[in-house]
Amino acid sequence: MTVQAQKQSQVEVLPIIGMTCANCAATIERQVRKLPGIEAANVNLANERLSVSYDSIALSREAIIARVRKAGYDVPEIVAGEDMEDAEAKARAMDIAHQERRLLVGAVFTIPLFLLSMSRDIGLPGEWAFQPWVNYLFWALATPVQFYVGWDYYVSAYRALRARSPNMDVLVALGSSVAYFYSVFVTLGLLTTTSAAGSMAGMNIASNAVAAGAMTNHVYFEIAAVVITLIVLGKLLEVRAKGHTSEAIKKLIGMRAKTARVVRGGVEIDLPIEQVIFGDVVIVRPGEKIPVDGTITEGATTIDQSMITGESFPVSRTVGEEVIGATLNKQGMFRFKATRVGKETALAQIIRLVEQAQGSKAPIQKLVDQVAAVFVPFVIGVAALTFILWIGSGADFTTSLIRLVAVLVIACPCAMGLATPTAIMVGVGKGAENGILFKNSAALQQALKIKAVVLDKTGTVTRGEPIVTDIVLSPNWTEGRDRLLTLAGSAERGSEHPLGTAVVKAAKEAGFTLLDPGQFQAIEGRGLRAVVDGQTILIGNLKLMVNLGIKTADLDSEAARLQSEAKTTMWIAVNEQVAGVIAVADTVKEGSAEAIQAMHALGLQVIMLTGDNQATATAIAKQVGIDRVLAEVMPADKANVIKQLQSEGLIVAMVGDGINDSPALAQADVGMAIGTGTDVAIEAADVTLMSGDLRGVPRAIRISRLTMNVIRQNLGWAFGYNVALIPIAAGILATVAWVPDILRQLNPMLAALAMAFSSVSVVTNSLRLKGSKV
Amino acid sequence: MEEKTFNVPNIGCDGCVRSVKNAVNEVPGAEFVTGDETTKNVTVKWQAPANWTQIAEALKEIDYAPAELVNP
Repeated sequence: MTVQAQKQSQVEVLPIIGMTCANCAATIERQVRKLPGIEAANVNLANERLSVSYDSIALSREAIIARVRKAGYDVPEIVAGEDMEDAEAKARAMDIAHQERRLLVGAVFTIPLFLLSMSRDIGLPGEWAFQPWVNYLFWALATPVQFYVGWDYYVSAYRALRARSPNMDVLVALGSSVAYFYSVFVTLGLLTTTSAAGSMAGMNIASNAVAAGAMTNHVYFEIAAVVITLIVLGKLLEVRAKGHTSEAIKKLIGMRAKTARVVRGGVEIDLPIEQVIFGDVVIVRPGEKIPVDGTITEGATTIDQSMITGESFPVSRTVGEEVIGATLNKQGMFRFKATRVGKETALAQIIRLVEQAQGSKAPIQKLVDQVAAVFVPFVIGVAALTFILWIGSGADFTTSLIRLVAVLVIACPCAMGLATPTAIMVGVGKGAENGILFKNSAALQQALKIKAVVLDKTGTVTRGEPIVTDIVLSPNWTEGRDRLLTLAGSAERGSEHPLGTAVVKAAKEAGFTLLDPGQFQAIEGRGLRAVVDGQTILIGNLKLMVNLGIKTADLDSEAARLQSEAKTTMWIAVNEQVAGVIAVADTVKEGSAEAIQAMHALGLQVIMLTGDNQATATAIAKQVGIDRVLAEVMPADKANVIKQLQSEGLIVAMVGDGINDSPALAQADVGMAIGTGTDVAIEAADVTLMSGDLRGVPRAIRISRLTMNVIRQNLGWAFGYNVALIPIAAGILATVAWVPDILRQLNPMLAALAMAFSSVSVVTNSLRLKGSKV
Repeated sequence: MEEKTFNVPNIGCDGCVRSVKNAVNEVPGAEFVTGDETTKNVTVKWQAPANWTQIAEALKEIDYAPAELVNP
């Protein structure tokens, strides 16, 4: 007996913190790959994960973590037993808590600040409100908001500027900082201006108070605070609405068998599945999950392979034929030689494909950031121009500076942080109303751009279970259709085969009472024999009839016709004579044809992608109006088809329900799972169509379109009021005599009104979406 | 104490600079002074038992090989 070299393949996924670019990822991969005992290492930048496969006897988890840390990145400790996905859920919970804290602190300080400040501007409190110490109070209230709550924006703005692309956070940091620091200067009395046009609050209402009080300059502390707080509110909404990370991988790994019965040294032992090696002889009993991929060496059986291949009917396998790990053995017992174990099995390949697909998706750029990227330079330009023009026209330095500051302050729209999340929230709600669950906001924003839809066949376009479509009687059969169905249904009573259950269902639905089958005998790969009500019933395929010498001539042409319609034919013989043929097929779901019509009307390419055979696929495709069919496709190739379409520049949607669809669902720009499908498919997809009705696809696209419109409108409202006030802030109307003081220059009242109106407009506009019909 | 400033073309971001820093500090006697992710210039100084060859090797090993020397 040869001594096997001990090797224990271990697969692990570790979270990595600190990676900021592809080079970091590549460095980590390179460093880890150099470790002895490493079989494979792969870093996923988007997910921030390192997947390693290694020989756990030669290399320890700690050594790998140490190497990563040495390279300068951190691996957060995961308590033993805690899952990857749990760690991520924790991180998300922490993120939400962080935003909630920010919002709370912000609100606590901002609300009193805002109320006090506003009422002072209207002249409510009285003359004491204009004492200098009140401004110091405002300063004190605004400071925690500016620096504790607003800290994240400074950090983010710094990073964005280093990357030379301004985003929303840059705008917030800029606007709020200018407002804050300008106000500090004013409070400290460092900014003295006596020019009439500049300083006297142009408010006729408060002019008494102003004349009496000492304050002659505006402070904008509340503007800075409100802006920061409102943007945090938007951020909180966003983070709450962010979909949880998919548990697809977790579920896929859970599909593996845990143990295998292996023959080693002539002895049968149960091993944990990781210890099965190439060449092991594995024993599989009826009802067990097949542990790894291999070739049968002894015995024959039928196997339910639907979880991997999507084929609805169990397949028969015998010596020399391949079996796939994680599939379900039905009634036979057999031995097979393991040919692919560990990460080489078909299941492991699916897992890898899903991981790769999930990792390859870059987050979509937010519209508001794109707007900010243009707006920030624009505003800075306008502010600079304002300053130059005023100086040039003879105004003093301070006045011109004040106007420059005013432009920068007013140009920061506080409602921009709410524009997207509020629309998304309502959009997701609208989807839910219609049975469409959007799991992440990216899908909601991408769906309208879909150009191609790829549909799985079984369970997606079709019902997924075969039903009886035709019953053709032999001319020799005189006892009638009902009797035949009753006999057939009774014979198939105990059947686990989908064909059998279809017949039983048909009989039950017709209201017949089924009798007990006696002397039931299953004929492997062919059919069955039973005695019902004293009659000997034979049900099976053509081969069965031919083998037993039963003449089929009468119904041959009918059977051929049914087959050409891609139906499965079951021959029924009673007492050695052909009584009839029952045809069974997986039928098209209600609404499928209509849905595909709608998709074509939207200008979308519709493609059918299935692992099932070409004939059935083409027949179904014809029924629903799909013109492009790809049949007999393996799960890996399904993802490749999606990739292929994407490389042509198309935004691709995939609709599926099975485990074999999961790589494609993850790869697609918008993956849609059928609600009645497998857990894995639902987790791998971005959208769940609850009822499985394909009409949900065009509906989802419509909702996406409406939502994006609302987002764009919201941004318009958010920026609109503020942009309209830029000229006033710049002082364009300052020299026009007949204009009321309030419009000659910026003052906190105007800014506050702009904030209020824009926020209300954005929220109202988003709520409007609720009422629209989809 | 010797000092050199050189360019590391492979630096792509903050994290890369950190990797370089860690690698340099691992060489006994060598010390990472500063690195800039935008210019990709790195400054290190060292004394015995460290020498330039060791430092350059350490960096080559993690694929952040020094390119042209800015300050020999």
